[in-house]
Amino acid sequence: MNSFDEIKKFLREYDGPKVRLMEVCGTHTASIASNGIPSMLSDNIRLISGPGCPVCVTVTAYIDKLVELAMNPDNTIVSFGDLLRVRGSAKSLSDAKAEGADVRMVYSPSQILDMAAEDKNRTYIFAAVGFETTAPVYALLLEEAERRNISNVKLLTSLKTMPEVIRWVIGSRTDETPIDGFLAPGHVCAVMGADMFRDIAAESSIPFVVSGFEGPQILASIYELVKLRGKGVVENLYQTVVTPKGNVKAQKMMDRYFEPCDASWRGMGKITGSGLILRAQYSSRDAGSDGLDVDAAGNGCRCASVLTGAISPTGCPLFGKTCTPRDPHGACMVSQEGSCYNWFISGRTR
Amino acid sequence: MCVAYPGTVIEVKDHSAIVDFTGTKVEALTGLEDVKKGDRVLVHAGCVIRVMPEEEADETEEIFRELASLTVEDMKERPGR
Ligand code: SF4
Repeated sequence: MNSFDEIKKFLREYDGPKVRLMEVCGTHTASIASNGIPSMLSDNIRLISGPGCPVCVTVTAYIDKLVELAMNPDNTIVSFGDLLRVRGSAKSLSDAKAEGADVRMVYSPSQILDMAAEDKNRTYIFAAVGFETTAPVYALLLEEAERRNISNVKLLTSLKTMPEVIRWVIGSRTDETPIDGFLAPGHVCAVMGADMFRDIAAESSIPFVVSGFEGPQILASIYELVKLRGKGVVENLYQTVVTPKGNVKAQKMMDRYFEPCDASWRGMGKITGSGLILRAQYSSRDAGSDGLDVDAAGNGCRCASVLTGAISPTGCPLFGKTCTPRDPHGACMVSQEGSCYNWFISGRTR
Repeated sequence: MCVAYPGTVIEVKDHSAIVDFTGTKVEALTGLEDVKKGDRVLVHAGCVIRVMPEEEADETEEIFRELASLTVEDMKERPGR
């Protein structure tokens, strides 16, 4: 019972108890949409997106602070793409850019280092959002900045970590919105190791399957999760990349620069121990990340309910009507990892 | 931010490497993993975050090798559960 065709047949014809599975990672959300996976599953298997799209979970206070920093003519704000169009309480970074602010998009930390090295009169502030996969990258960026003696690079951080937000999501399940399994985030596990979810699985009796990102890998992981329903175990189906303990060098690098903090999540509030902030000895590299908690997203956006799996994007009254990728109301429609964006572009309905 | 498939290291520099993704070449920092020419690596946000074990040629092939050990019957008694 293990050829790919048999797995597909099983998932298509499954008529056992209803299962709701959460994919935590935004890259999984995007791959599920582009591979048309929901249409390959029986009605009794539902996939919901979780809080693993870094841009989507960012609160408005963080965007507002970036906009404020951008409006200072001595600063350049540098970001990885997606964040530019997310609105804070009033403006987005794109709006600030249109008003003359220096906001740039990059693909790698080396670019910001080169820019800053060539132009010592400006401060280059990196909009450092992300999870455990990306935090070591920012740590490496700072280490490279120290090594190359570049003092005009700072971070505005909104870094999040997985374990506590997953506990929060598990704790906010209802009878109508259960979660029977987690497609564990493959690249967070590449850094932190598959063992990171063992305790949560055991204490909640919910299975976690670490999954790769290709369509067949995701289907195989869904198959596993259905089979493991009710068992508090972690299964690693991405062993080419993920080991039990992860990338220890990256963990050490992260630990050298960052310490755990309480972090604010869009629609979920402040969750104890769910984020990372620069350690006190590196405070000169921090552009003001502490205390950015206000989450004032208004205009009827239901991102908060979407991020916790309480509703699917089509359950938002604005979806596809006033809210589209061209004119997004919420971060979930802006980001290419966002579930609203992915439901919209793939025409997904369930 | 995440390139979900691996690339191949074609040149190693002091603190970075050139990684080839089927023709598209990117420079990635190497401070989080030790890399050598020919390594297959996962790149995230401009950094190598993982070097893949050499013998694994094809991810998709591999998943079924992994799954082959998972028959429904031995789900119950698999060691380490
Ligand atoms: S469809 Fe738009 S308004 Fe509705 S939850 Fe998604 S991003 Fe927010």
